Amino acid sequence: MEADEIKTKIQELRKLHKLSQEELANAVGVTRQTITSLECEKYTASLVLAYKIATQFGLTIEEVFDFSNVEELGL
Amino acid sequence: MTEFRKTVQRRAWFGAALVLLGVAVFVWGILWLENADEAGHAEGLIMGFRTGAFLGIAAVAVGGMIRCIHALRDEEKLKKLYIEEHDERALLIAQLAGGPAMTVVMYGLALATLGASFVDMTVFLTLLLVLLFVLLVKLAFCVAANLRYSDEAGTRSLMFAKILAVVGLLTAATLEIVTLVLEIELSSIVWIPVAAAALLMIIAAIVLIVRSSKLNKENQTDGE
Repeated sequence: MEADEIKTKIQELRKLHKLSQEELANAVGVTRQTITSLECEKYTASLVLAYKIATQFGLTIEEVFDFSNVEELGL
Repeated sequence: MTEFRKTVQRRAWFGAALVLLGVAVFVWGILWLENADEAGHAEGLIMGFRTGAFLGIAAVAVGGMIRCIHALRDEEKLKKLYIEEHDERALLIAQLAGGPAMTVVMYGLALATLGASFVDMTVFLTLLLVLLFVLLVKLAFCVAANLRYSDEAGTRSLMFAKILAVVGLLTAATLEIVTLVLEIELSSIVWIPVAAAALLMIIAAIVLIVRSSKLNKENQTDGE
């Protein structure tokens, strides 16, 4: 796994909050495709988007995104 | 969103102007083609292309205008349009596609220019000018991006140095093409100041490069 592939709990949290991808996308100001890519870990969110998503779920960025991969690589 | 609404409004007006221009050129082209019995094949082809191109521009502008008007009438559609245009993943894809594509175009043009130099002088000069234009556009975008994302004096100096160097070299190259290739005799009142300006720009570029490397070294020392 590469350093820029960040695991996320977006799908899990979205289902917990009963939000569709479209609804979450509209709430954080991106397209539905971006949410899909984030959930599939094909795309890494910018700091601003990560903050918006975390705020949407009432959590911190570290609680939504798993940075252990980056820490393992010592980056 | 208010600022984006204004942008969409401006875009709609621009689209309307393009439609008017496109239709005007299209009508002119049709009238010209109807009365062009004695015109040569090449002239007809050029006029046909021009007419078609402007009709295409007008059609695209109509599509854009309709989209803008719909967005201006409905707040939800305006928000959707804003999201579509500002989606960070879409912007990243556009950047990743644009950069390498431009590089391929530049190398392709350079090869074509080289090839044309063995075949035809007119084609060679045309391709050379296109290549220079593409290089200038690429440089302008690189400089703009570097200036936007840099606050260091050293980096800024380096950017200006690059601009000066390229403009200086281009001026020198143009002077050479005009005098040696096109064999146009320029009076000393023209070529001496132009050559001096080109030389000055290149010297200034070298001075700025030295200065920026010193500034960068100082910045590195400060950080240690």
